[in-house]
Amino acid sequence: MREHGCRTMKISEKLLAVLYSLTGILLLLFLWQLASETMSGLVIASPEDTFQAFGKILTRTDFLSSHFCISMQRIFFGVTLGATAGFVLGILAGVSRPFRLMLEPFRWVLMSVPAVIVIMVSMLWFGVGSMMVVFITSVLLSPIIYVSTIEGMSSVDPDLLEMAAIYRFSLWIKIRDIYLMSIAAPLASGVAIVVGNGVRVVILSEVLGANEGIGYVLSSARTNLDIPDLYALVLLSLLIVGITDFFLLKPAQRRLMRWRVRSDD
Amino acid sequence: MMIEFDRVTKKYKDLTVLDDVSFSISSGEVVGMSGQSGAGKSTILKLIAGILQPSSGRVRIQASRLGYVFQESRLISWKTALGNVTLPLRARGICPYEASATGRRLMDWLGLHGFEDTFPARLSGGMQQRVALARALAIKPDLLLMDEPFNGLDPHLKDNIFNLLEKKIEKDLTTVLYVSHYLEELSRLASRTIHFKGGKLT
Repeated sequence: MREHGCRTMKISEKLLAVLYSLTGILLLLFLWQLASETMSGLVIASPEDTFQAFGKILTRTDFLSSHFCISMQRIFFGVTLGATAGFVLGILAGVSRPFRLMLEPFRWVLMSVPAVIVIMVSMLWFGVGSMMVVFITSVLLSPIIYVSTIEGMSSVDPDLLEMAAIYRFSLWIKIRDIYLMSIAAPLASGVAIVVGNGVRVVILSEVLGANEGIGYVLSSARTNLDIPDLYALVLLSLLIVGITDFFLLKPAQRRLMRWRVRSDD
Repeated sequence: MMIEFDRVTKKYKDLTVLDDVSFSISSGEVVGMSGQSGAGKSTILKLIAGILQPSSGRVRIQASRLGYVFQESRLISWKTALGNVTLPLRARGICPYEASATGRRLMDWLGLHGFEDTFPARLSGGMQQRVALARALAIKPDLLLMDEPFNGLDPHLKDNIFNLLEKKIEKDLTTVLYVSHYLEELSRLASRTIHFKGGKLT
């Protein structure tokens, strides 16, 4: 009976959370509509025009097969390369203090330099195209994963390592069952940030220096003052981040962290 | 001899934790160890376990399978109770099926049936310590070290664990070194007790 009561309470809490989120979305749409009516359509496209343009863009085969696909590939390779480099360097820096101190100036430079400067320099080095976009994305994102990995490495419980030494766990078991899971939590947050930033950096790079991709189409829409298209592309980039986060990252994070006792349990 | 300490001194920088300590424990013996906090009891266990080295003197151990129950459970939070119990077996190359069967049998024996797939955070303190004990016993240790493992447990539960442990030790002829502040616990489990004060055997 009590368990049933708890379950009912949890369901009603979840429903309430959905209700709050829906209210937020409706409020956003209302403010958006209000802003588009108050200001010129050349500044803010209405939600209706944006959704119509969004539908049209998604039915354009040239857009899906070339620009969308190219941007997705650049996001995938940029994020994967950046995350892998950050992870490997983070592990090495976590193990070796001299190596960490040596990498510190690089981390500082990459985390402090404005993205647009990296884009300009990369355009000089690689010219316009996928190589430049992937390079910029991976270079700007790797410090985020690097910092998350170091944070995770420093949070490995020394008591667990002592226990592992007493029970003579092999290096592989220590890495798999202690180190990797210890860094999973900070790393999962880092990956979520990196994916969001990956989409932003790729689109920014394409706006500034590419002749294909979502950013390029966005830049063309701005030049042609095609405001609904411009807003539709913003909506598309938000959806890419949202869908990746909701259907890929969040379930993976929940699975990894299922051992934690949540406050609502 | 299972354990032999020959004029062992252990220093941490200028602090002498153990001072010229000599004692021995025979195979199959159950020995209690008492002393105030900071007397060097845990250091003795860590020297035996090989995670500390003496500053001088010699420590000789003849155990091939060492079980260790710590003051706190030291369970891996992201592994289930059974996963924690079976990990030392897996580390010794025992196949998953056999390790799981051994782990389940020990958990049943310690009254943890039904909690095999539960993560440590969802277990009570007493259950966590029983899982830690199951982990130590899983490898069938020839030497079992216990560092005040049942402090803070309610007396009834402690009594149950002692009953089970007594039977197990007797059956497997395990050598045990048990550290506790409580003399009644030591006298119940141990055939003799050694006492430490200020890093010296008294």
